[in-house]
This record gives sequence, C-alpha cells and structure tokens, in this order.
Amino acid sequence: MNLFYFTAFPPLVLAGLIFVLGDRHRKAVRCLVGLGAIHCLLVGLTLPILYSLAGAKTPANWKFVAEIWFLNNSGLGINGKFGLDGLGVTMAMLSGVVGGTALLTALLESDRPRSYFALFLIMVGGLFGAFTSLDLFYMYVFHEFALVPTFLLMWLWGRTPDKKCQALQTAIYLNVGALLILVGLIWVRFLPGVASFDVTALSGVNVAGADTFGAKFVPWMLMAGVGILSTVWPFHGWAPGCYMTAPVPAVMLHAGVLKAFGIYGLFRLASVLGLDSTSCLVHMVSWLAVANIVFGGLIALQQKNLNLTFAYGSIAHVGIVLLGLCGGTEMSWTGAIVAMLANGIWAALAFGTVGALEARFKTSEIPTLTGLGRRAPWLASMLVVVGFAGCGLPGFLTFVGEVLVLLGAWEIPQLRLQVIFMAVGVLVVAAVYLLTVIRNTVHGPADHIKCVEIPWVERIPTFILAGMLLLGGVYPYGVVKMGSSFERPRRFTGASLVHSNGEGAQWEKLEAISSGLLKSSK
Amino acid sequence: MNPHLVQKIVGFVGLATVVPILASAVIYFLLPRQSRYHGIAAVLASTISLLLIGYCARIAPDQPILVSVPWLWGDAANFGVGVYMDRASLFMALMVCVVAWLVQIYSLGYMQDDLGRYFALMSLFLGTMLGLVLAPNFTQLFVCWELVGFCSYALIGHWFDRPSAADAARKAFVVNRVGDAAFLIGILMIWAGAHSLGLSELRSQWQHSIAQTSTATLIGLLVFCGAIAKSAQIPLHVWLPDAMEGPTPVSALIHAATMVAAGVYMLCRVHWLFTGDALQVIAWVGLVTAVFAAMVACRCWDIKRVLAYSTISQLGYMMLAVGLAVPAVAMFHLVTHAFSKALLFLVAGVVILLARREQDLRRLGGIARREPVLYVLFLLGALSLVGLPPFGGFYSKEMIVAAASKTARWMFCVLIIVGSALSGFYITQLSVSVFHGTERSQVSRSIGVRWKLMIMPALGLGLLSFASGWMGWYEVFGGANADLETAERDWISSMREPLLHLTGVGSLNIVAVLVGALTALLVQARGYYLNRVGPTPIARAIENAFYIDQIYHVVIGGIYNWLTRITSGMDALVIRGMVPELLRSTFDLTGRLLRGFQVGDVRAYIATSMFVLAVILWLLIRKLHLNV
Repeated sequence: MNLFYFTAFPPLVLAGLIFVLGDRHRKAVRCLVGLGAIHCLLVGLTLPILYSLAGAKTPANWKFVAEIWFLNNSGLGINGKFGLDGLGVTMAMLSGVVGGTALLTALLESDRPRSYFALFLIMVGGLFGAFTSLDLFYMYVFHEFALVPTFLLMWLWGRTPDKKCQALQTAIYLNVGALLILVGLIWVRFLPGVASFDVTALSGVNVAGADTFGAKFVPWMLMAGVGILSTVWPFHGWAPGCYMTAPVPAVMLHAGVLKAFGIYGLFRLASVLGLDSTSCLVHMVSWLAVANIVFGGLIALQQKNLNLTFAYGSIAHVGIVLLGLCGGTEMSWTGAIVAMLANGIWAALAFGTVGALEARFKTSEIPTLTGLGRRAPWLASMLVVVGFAGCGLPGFLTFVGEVLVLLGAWEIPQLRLQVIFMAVGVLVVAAVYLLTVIRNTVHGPADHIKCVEIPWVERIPTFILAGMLLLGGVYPYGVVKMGSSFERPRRFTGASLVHSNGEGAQWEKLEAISSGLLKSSK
Repeated sequence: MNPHLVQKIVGFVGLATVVPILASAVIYFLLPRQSRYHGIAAVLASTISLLLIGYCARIAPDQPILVSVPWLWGDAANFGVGVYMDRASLFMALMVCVVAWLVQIYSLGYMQDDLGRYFALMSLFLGTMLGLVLAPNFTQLFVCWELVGFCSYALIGHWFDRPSAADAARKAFVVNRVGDAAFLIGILMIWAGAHSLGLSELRSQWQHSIAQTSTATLIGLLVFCGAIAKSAQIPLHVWLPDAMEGPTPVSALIHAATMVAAGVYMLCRVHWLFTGDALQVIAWVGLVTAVFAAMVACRCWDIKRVLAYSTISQLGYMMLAVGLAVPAVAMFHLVTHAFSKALLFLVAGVVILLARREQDLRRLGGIARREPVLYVLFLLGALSLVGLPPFGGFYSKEMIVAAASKTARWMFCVLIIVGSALSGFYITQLSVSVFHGTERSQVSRSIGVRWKLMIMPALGLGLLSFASGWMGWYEVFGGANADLETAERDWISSMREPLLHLTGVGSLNIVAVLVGALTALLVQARGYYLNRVGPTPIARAIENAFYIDQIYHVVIGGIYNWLTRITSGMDALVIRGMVPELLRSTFDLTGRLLRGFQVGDVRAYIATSMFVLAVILWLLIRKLHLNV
C-alpha cells in the first residue's frame, strides 16, 4: 500500500476535480466533498488498524515506507519518502478524523461556492502529506498547503465584520513563523552530520555538542517559529482573533491539527537539535509550557465569547504537549503524542459545537446563551463533554495524555516544579473556567422556552468526535501502544544532568522506571 | 487457593462493577427520555451487583486476591485496572451496594416524575464507587475518585435551572479538584520514590523504601489533602452543605454514606503511608472539624443542612480514628454512620415531600402525630448517630473514645465529649422541631403509592443502623477486640461486652449526649429562638459557619479574579497589542526608510552611485594591494 496515494493524493485530486467542475454542478461538487469526507474518516480509522497489524518493518519502526520517484531530488537532498511510525500514525489518525468531520461540517453549512470546499480538501491533503512525509522539505511544503488556505478562507468567508483585518494579521504573523521554520529547516540540512532532508536518518545525529554557530542558533530559531505556529506563550497573539473569524470547519482543522504540526516538527528534530532535558532551551520552553497552561486557563475565564474561551483553552492544551516534549522520557513523549491527538479532537469538538450554536442561535456571546440544558439538550450535552474532557476527567482521552505527561515529566527532577504547576493548572485552573462556561451556558434558567431540536444528520460530526474521545478514554491502551512506537533518539536515555563542571556535562543514566512497552515489536 | 474459586470471584466482582456502568450507558443512550424503565433498569443493575458482591463476600478466601489488566500503560500492576479484594474492600463494597440498592428503590418513589439523567448517573456512581473501593493501584483509585466526583457534580446539579443548584454543583467539583491536585502530586511523589503504585506492593515495601526519608510525611499530607476535599474536612468542607441542593436520595447515598466516606476509606487503605507527624495532623484536623461542624449544626434551620454538618462532624470523628492509628475503628464508624445517616436523610426526604418542599425547621412540626412510623425510623437513626447503646453508633464511637483516652492527650477526650454534647443538642433540636409541637405548615394527607417504595428501604436501614454495632462489621475490617475471647463470639456478647467494659470517658460521653439533648429540650420549651429579638453576633457567626465560605469567596475569589484580570490585561496590551504593533512598525519604518532612496531626485541618485562606486573601487584596490 503506497502511503502517499492512499492518504494525501486523493483529497488533492478531489480538490482539482472540484475546481474543474465549476459552480454549475453544485450537487456533483457536494458529492465529491462527501466522498472526500468519507475518505478522510476511512483513513483516520483504518490506518491505525493497518499499522498495528503490519508485521514487517524496516529498521527503526518505520512502516509503509514508500518513495515517490517524481518528488525526488537527490542533488538538494530531497527525497519523496513517505512512511509512518507511532507519532506519524497518531497524527494521521487525527488529521483523518478531524478532517473528515470538518468536511462534514462544511457540507452541512448552507450553500457555498466550490472554492470553499476545494480549499478544505487542499488543507486536508496537505495535512496528510505533512504527517506521512519522511522528508523535512516535503513536510514543510505540505504544511504550507494546509496553512495558506486558512488565510483565504478567513478573508473571503470570515464570520466577523473585521475579517479582512484579522486575516491579514493572522497571515503576516503566521508567515513570520513559517519563515523562521523554513530558514531553520534549510539550515538544519547544513548542520554538521546531517546529509539530507531525510527524517529517518536524523535520529542518529546530534548537534548539541557541536561548536558551529548554526548548531547553537538553529534550535532557538526553530523554537521561535514553532512557537508562533503552535501558539506557545508569548507567540499566541494571533490565535484568538483567527479562531473567532475563520469559518468553523477551518477553525476545527486549524486548532485541531495544524497547531500540532509545529510541535510534531520538534519531535522529529528533537535528536538533531539535542532537545533533551539538559538543554537550557528546553528548560526555558518548559516554563513557557507552564505559562501556556496557567495563563491560557486564567484568560479563558475572562472571555465573554465562547469562541475566545475555547481558543484560550486550546492554547492552554498546547502547554501540556510541550511539557511532554520537554520531559524527554518515553512516557512523557507518549503522553505528549496522545495529548496531541486528544486535544486536537477536543478543539475540533469545541469549535464544532460553538459553530452549531452560532448557526442555531445566531450568537456565541455567553451572556445571551443561558439555559441551554433545556433549550438545546444535544448541544448542551456536547458542551458538557467539551467542558469535562477539557479539564481532564478520566474516561476521556485527554486525561490519558495529561496523566502520562505528568508521570513521565516527573521522572526528571529539574522539571518537577513545572509539573506541579501543570498539575494545578490542568486540575484546578481548567476546571474553573470550563465549569464556569457550563454554568453560564448550559445551566441556569431558560427564559426562552423555545426548544431547538438538532436533526440527527447535523449531529454526526460532533458525535464522531465525542465518541472518539470517550472510546479512547475508556480503553486507552490501544492508542497508547500505538503512540509509543516511535524511535527514541539515541541520546534520550532518560539521562539527567547531574554534574556540570568546567569540562562539560556528566551524564547519569536513570534506570527505567516504567518498563518498555513494546518489547516484542522493538 | 483454588484457582477456579479465584477466577469465579474475580469474574463476579468484575461483573458487579461493570454491570451498573453498562446499565448507565443503556439508560442514557438507549431508553427514551422520561420512562419508568430508567428506575427499573437501575434497580435491576444494583440488585445484580448486591447479589454478586454479597456472594463473593461470603465465599472469599482469607488471602487477598489481586488481578489487573493493562489500561494506561503496559505495566498492569501500576497502571492497569482490576480488583484487589481482601475482607476490608469486599465488605466495604457490600456496604456500598446495600445502601445504594436501598436508596435506588427509595428513588423510584421519590423521583417519580422527575427523571432526566438521574438513574443513569446513580448507576454510573455505583459502578465507579465499586471501582474505587476495589482499586488495586493508585491509578484506578484516582480515576474512580474523579469519576465519583463527576457523578456527584451532575447529581447535585440535577435541577440545574435553579441558579443555587448550578452554583453548588460547580463549587463541589472545583473544591474537590483542589484536593485532587494535591493528591495527584502525592501520587507522583510515591511513584518517583517507591517506583510502584500498586497498593499491596507498596504496603510491603514502604518500610524499606520511603518511610525513612524526609519526604514521607509530605507524601502522607498530600495524600491526606485528597481525603480532606472528598470527606469535607476543614478547610475544604464548604462544598458539602451546598451540595444539599441535590435531590435527597443523592444526599443520602453520595453525600452521607459512600462518596464522602471514600476519603476515609482511602486513608484506611493506605494507613501504612503515614508517619507519626502526618497522623497527628490528621487527628487534629478531624477533631477540630468534628467540633466545629457540630457547633454549626446547632444553629442550622434547614433539615438537610443540619444533617450535612452532622455528616461533616462524624467524618471528623472517622479522621480522628485514622489519626489515632486505629483504621479498623474508623471503618467501623464509617459503616454505622452510613446506615444511620442514610436513614436520616431518607426520612428527611419523606418529611420534605409531606410538607410540600418545606425544609425550614422553624416552619415544620407535628409530623410524629401524622406519621408515627416515620418518627420511629427517625429515632432509630438519631439514637445511632449520637451513640447511645445498644444502637450501632454507640459501639463505634465508644471505640474511638477508648482509643483517644489511651493517648496522653486529654484535649482529645475533652473535645470529643464537647462534640457529643453538641450532637445530642442538634439532633434533639431537629427531632423536636420537625416531629413534635404544633403543625406550622401544611402537611399533605398522604403521598400515595410512593409511600411503600420509600418506607421499605428506610425500614431496612433502620434495622441495619440498630444492629450494625454487633453484626460483626468491626471484625471484618481487621479489628481485634482484646476484651472478648476469639473463640465463642456471637451477637449477644458483642452487644453486651462493650457496655460492661465501659470506661470512664465512655460513660462521660453518654452523659454529655444526654446533657446536650436536655439542653435542646429546654431551649425548645423556652422558645429561645422564636421569641428573641435577634441572634447575638456569636450566634450569627455560628449560623454562617464562621463566615468561612464568605472569606473564601472574597479572598480566594478576589485573588483569582485579580490574577485573571492581570493576565488578560497583559495579554491584550502586550502580546496582542505590542507584538503585532512591533511587527507592523518595523515594516512601516523600513518601508519609509527605503522609500527615502526612491524620491526621484536625480542628484541623490548620482551621489549614491558615486558613493557606491567609490566603495567598490576602494575594496578592489585593497584586494589588489593584498594580492601584491
């Protein structure tokens, strides 16, 4: 099975077909979009199964590796290689599920021109390509495929009066981030020890000790770029405006999947850049992660608009993933990967629900939306799911990610203070603002008794997302096993810095506290 | 141990835990919105659980059984779900099942027309509570801890149209979360220190691994914080009185008998975790809470609030028992209290229905004449609660008193006696205001067919609270009574022996209760609180629970508000204001600067070209010079 033709290619082809068909064949266009949605969901749900069943592996856990000859350019070190490991298949699953439900949500909206749907299909194709690509260059290219349509969607079909201003601001801010990442990625190619853009060859390289200016500067630059793209504090300024303005399916895709891309890139480059728990960059980033969680939760409490509340909520969740990355142990990385999946689905569910509320009640201002428990029971129960999944109630996949990150990061003594802050942030701060949202929207007297009944067709996208959160939470072992089958960079042995004198760092290898997960498959 | 027997027991217990959760899913997803099958399904599920657990409790071998499957990580012993059955957990599970079964039958009558999610949540609660009781490791314990907290939230907010109920639900969950955060940090420290989270494994290796280090006390205190929140001790007790906004059966099951007892149960389960210093803290917190809550209960005017503060007070006694290093006594008191308090709540529910939702003590009265059965049931519960022989509560309280008098601290005994007097006072005040005197509000003639559904479970609980002292609950929780011979013990000797061996402090205790009761009767007879002009500041302070709630609202709420405002302000001003502004002005300035070179002034062009040419020539000459 050729991964590229199975995942990334079909949505792009469908987008091209839709452009060709034109606006006269609206029904055909909608059929094609439906096809695209079904394809996404199929990929998202079957790829993990295929991955678990696939026995034969190339070395280092990469499965389904395929090379597309016309994408190769060995002169520049670019390979059209596609493949999956645990991290990749989790992100592909996330793209499939969120992409499929976003396309379904777009379908359910009232009549839109063909470019609207085509842009979404390009986004989804780009996401699949970015996460299955084993080449840094194509990762970036496909990521741009996924990113740029957001700006167009915001400019043309934004939900607020100042959509053009917001679209410009988001575009410029995100392009600065993308620029930093582009320069960083190209520079990585020229770091000592790196021969090409191939990701599979990177895990043996470590430039952290090298003396060149690039080796010292590139991690910081990449971190800044990733910070902008993934809404790390203090680079999150573009996100609230963007999530308020962009059309709902775009927000679902962006907040759910695209945001995770930056950190996904960091995972891939972690060994090259030496991002383990000893680097001072990682120490600083772990405090930024804490800032994300705590400040995101605090600011979310002040918001009067549901879109902004959940925007800051998703900003807060990025902190969890980032802290998992900083932990560097197997458990914390697995927790971060599961958290990316769970928080992506959560963000899509949250913004999808708000979109449905806006469609029915023409507003997303919290003061006007009270008593939803009686007025719109289905939407109210979705909001309750969003609320409790967001603060990590066991039984939802978000809890699994958070608790694995906490347990994993706790193994590193230098990160313990950050873990304490994260525990308080996730358990208390998140609960405060989410339960306040539920109190102000779902609970309370319903003055207007008009009960809004949502037809079952419109319930499908949110039902799928909530169902995945619940299923993953009730039996997480499958997801955890899948997410933990990545190649841990050889330097990451759970080592922690014990002595640092003038000559350099002495490493002490910690014993593995948690037993290895896949003894048989490693 | 016979492996077939083990397999059978594990299967049955697992089924007993899973069936209520499945029933909850069926009720929520499959059954129509308002249908009587909700209640029937829930009661069926809890009957199955009760029978299974009861059977397993009978045939269980003496050695503990531990089974777990991988759930969160490959390491099933530490991160899996399963069951850990020894006598203590099986009999605690039995108690939970009995009370839950009786309360759910009661709910069939009480919640007749008012269903919503009620039975789904009650079933979910039963399943997760059993999961908590039978947890083999801290992971499952914490997961079920949170889930019962969620069930409590959803059930308190059953009538969520009411702002007070919605607020009470949120408060309960958030306050519990504060304790849970500390609990989680304690679990993390246990993980790092002992490299294990399994309860039985930790018990065996605790002494060698952590108990000697300096962090052992801290770990114990952090774990205790979880129990402070769940069992409503000071300073995290503020959620329980407000939780009375929920339906009365919910208060009976969750906020009297089972969930709030989970904190005590957890402490008893891991009592080997606590150093001497930690136990001291636990004992003092429990004792102060007991006396404080009893004081406040004396000036509560709502039936359910009196019972709520009474529950807080009795939980304080259980904490005291834990702190005195006699966890079996704490469990014993937990069980006797569960039966009597659940009974009191059920009776209160019937009273509230009879009086058409009137809950104020000052406006009720004379129910005893209308419904003598109700009064008898109330007396059964009340006498057991204050601890008069031969009711169940006497035996457990007597043991707490005995343990306290064995320590060198006379302050413990004094405060316990004060607490007993206060408990006599408030329960008599409650009883007299509600059941005696003139009828001050309209009381229905009858509540129809629901009567039997509501009275039968209350009768069952009445019998249990009468007999719980000598049924053998103390022994199953590991207590060994030194006064009795182990060979010949039957219920008569269990009933008689503690009375014969009553210590001085024990008898003082009983006297104190009677004194408190008499004082209450005097106060009632004189009509003190009806005739006075207004309460004194002290009385008003006690009435408002020393304004702790209000202080929290102002101080903690104020600080939190201030924090959110500062961070949002900084966000809006600096991050969303200045940073894009910086970008914009950078582009702007650069553009302006560069534009200056393109103004169309030919002379400027010539000058610039000359200058650049000169620089290039200079560089070339330098290069040539160097080459030469």
